[in-house]
Amino acid sequence: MNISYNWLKDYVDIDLEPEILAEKLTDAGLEAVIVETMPDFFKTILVGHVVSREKHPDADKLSVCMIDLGDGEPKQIICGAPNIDAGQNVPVATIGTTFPDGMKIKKAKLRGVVSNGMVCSQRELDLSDDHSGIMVLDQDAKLGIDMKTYLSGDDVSIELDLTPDRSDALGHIGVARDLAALLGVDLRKPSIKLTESSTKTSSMVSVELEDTQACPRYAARIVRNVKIGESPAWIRQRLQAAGIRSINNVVDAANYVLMETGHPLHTFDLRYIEGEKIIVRKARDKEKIPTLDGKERELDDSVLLICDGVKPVAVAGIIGGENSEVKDDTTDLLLESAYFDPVIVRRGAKKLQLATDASHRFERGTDPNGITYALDRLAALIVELAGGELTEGQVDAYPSIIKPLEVTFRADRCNAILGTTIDTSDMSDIFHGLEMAHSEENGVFQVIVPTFRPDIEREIDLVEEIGRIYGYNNIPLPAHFSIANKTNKKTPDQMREKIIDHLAAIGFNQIYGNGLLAVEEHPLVFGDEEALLLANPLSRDMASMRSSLLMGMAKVADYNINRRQSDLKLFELGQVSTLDLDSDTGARETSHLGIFISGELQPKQWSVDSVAVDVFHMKGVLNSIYQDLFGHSLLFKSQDHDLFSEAIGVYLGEEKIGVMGNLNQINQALKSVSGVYVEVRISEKLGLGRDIQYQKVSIYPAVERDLSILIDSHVVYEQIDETIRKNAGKSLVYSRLYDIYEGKSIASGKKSLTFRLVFQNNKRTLTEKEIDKDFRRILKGLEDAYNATLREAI
Amino acid sequence: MSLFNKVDELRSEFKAALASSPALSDLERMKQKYLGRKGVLNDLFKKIAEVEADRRGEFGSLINQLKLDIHDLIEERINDHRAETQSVSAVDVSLPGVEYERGTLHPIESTLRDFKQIFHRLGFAVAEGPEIETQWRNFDALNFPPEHPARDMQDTFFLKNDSVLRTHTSPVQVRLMLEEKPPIRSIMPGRVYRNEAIDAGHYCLFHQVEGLYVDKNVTMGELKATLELFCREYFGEFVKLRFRPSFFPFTEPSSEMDVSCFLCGGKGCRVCKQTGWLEIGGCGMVDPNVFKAVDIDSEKYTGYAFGMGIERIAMMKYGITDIRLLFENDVRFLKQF
Ligand SMILES: [Zn+2]
Repeated sequence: MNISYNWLKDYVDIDLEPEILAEKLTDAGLEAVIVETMPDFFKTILVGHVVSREKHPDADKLSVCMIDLGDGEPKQIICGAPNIDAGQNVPVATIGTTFPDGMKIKKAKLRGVVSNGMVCSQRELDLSDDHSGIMVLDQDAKLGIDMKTYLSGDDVSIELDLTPDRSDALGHIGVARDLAALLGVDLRKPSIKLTESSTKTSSMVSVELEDTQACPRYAARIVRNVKIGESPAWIRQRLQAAGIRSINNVVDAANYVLMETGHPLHTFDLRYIEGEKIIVRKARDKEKIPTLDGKERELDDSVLLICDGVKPVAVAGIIGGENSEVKDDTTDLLLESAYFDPVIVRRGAKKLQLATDASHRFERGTDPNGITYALDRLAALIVELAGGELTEGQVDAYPSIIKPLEVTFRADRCNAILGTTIDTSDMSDIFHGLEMAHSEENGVFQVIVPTFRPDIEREIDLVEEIGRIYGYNNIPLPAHFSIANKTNKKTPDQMREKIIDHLAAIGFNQIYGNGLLAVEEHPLVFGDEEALLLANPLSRDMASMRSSLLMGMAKVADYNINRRQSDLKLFELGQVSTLDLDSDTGARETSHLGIFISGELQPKQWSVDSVAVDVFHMKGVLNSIYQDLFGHSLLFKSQDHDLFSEAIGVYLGEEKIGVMGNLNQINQALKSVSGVYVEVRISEKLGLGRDIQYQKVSIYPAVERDLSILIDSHVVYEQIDETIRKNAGKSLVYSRLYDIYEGKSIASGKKSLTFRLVFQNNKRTLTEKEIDKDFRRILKGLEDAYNATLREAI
Repeated sequence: MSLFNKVDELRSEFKAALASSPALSDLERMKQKYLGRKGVLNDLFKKIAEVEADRRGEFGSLINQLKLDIHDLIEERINDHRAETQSVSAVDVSLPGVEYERGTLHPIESTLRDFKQIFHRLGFAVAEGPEIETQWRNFDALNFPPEHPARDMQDTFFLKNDSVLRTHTSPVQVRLMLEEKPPIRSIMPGRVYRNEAIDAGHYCLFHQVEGLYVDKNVTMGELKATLELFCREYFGEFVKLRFRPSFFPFTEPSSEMDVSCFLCGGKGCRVCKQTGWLEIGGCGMVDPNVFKAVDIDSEKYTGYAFGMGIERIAMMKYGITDIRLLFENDVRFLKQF
């Protein structure tokens, strides 16, 4: 909403520059910025007076005009418009003006006659679509002023971005009220002088409220014999500053009072109101009304209607009917000022899918006790602008009065919450400024909250009012913090940070995937996921919650591979969700870790060979997380899986926690993606880290021996490793497989494995004899169990 | 002085010269001086006639010995020099070092870590909650009336069973206050969803950090001080903070917080839209209705809450102008952090 700086001055004395004013309003919760509502090129469009007009000697349709731009030296300007005439004031684009379309005004010759500018039409100034002739300005306009000044009266527009609770600030008086409280000055509301005829309004129209819940109050007035016409400059300028286009004097008057009081009003053409009455009722199912925007609306009982004796004439609080609209030939008016329940207007606007200035205000809550003032103000203004006869009295249907709330407010409670030491007299001043009547005894206030502040119901709401006007930025900062003496719970967050840090440290890039996927994009990584579908998705490709991280990862991989970034080491640690009818949200959420490696693990460098990715790298990465960070051993078992070739199930104890392998093609769109992928569930059972107990480091020398054996090909590593450990005795501190060989020079059906064994004792230096003994025992164990033979001892 | 003494003198003079670590060129010069055809030793040898006849053989071999010694010592030194220069030129030290590929934290993660670190220092624990929430925890318990325009402020994703994708991290406050008794002092980071069209400034999901402190005598002054300290730590010592009254259903009084634009220092620029201020989040005192919903006595306890958008702040900090970059995960983007 835009407001006018000059207009505010009607209600409160301000001695502040507009920028400072905007800052003050912002600091009080009415976010304000100065806006330029008029285009830059208006600065060189000046008001000129046509001193004389003569026909162009060589062109029938052109006129040669002498136009005074206020400097007393009339300039010769050629004009082609039929309506230009001596004595008019007109907008003149002076030399140097550049129009938004790029057209530049230069001194030019038209058929041999010099022209020093251009007289503009409304369309050329982008003020309306009218291009039938040049725009004729007010007779009393000051010559030489620019169009910006002419149109706005040198006003400044301030744009307010209001929070939905501040319906009271949707008009100039409301904003001025906050300013009065902030600056400690008085608020002036315009007094109204009405001249009424002896005809009673109540003899001409009656009001029936069928639903007093939806419409607690409806007031009307009648003005007869008005003359619809143009509004005077002062009202047009103000509406302009408020961002409203002038239409005619009656519509402008209603908009003016709206922008002044914040209260929406409606005007009906009385000749179309049948049956001399207004009925406010719910719409019937499928009932129709033609609305002002030229549409026919079908309604139901969520919508409140204003009807005459025969038909609906407006949708209450939202939009008027076309059948009762004020037109150029309207003479008699019915003026409406009513209070509608915010909820019914909100539902109605939803049903009509229509948001209007009026519905915006009624939804946020208007003042049921401010409507007679607004109605009288409108009636007086219409008579002032359009003449006519105001009939006597309002017809005011208000069966049960809505009383202001009385709220108890404790000054010390307020200071305790804000952390301030504001004294009661200052608080009293603030309440006074906000037009809240109150009494105070021993720091306890009884505050009458006016009905124009529906947002205030409780003591805490008044605390905010005090804080807001006192100034949040004036609340002092304590020098110390109070931090509770309490142990903080350890959370899984710390566990996840550990994993993330570890993966980043060993060269992986963390990604954050989109959690929303197309319904068909749920590859079954675990096999039991049931995805959650959105009821109101943004688009088809984001219509469900991810049930695993695979799809997001694959999309990221695809994105990068298509951009020639194919050596990828990516991971994501995030939440996935699946259906769970036992939970109160219907969802089970789990932390998942997805890791993807593709291309070369390490690129070839001049002194280092490249390393191609395989599934054992991934196994190593997983082990480094589970074993090194958390002290848990994983088990790996081969399995069948549609998504992977050579799939491996990952187990933590008995529990299967994930799966890994070489990714098969997921779908046609992601056919560029290949690599090794693992996804595991990260359960809280992982704990926060390994339990570390220091082990004494042996001071005695370690001895290395290499063991090379020939063994049947079908014996797996795990079995061999287990046999070595079982037979090794206490001195074997380390064993590592460092070579596997199958092929030439080895009998078929056999393979050769080489282990590096390290022997060491904590208490003494081992003798060669002892080591030989251990070594032979290991070999014997392998011979006995798997028929292994020693290949060569190094 | 006898010629014999002259030989001794030359020997010690040479030794001193050699001891002063001569460069290669010095050694060549010394070679000329002592061993050259017109060198000092040849000159001396020419004086052999002056020596008594019976000692001439002795004198000759003495000079020869000195010649041999000087020759050997100089050659040794020259070889040393050559060896040194040879070993330098054998290795091209300008060859690139072996690259160790560094992994990276996602910018959202690293921003979040910075936040956690600062709030951890201020005694805040970390709490979490699910992304899918009941409407009660996401709205009702947080004092959103069923028909209030506030529910319009956030366009919400609903699941088919009427649960919602949380629109803010505030439902974690509700969980926390139901689980724990005051004092409660936690930050609550997490992913939230909004049903908004995606563009450079908006995404259908983003991350927030929520903060909550509930105890006896918690004041708005302390809320301000906490956030101000946070901003100074995060944005820099000279940042200014501004609090503007605002409206959130779950806090009263409510406030927006702005920091002075760290790009232009508050003068106004493109990033701060000429205002000199950057909006970084909302805050306020926990509304008594929220306390009522979680059964905490609002006469006994007060509390403050605040919330900040991580993407927004990360984008400001790193100069990212399109939020979609954060979810595209281009490795050329990721590796910059
Ligand atoms: Zn700036």
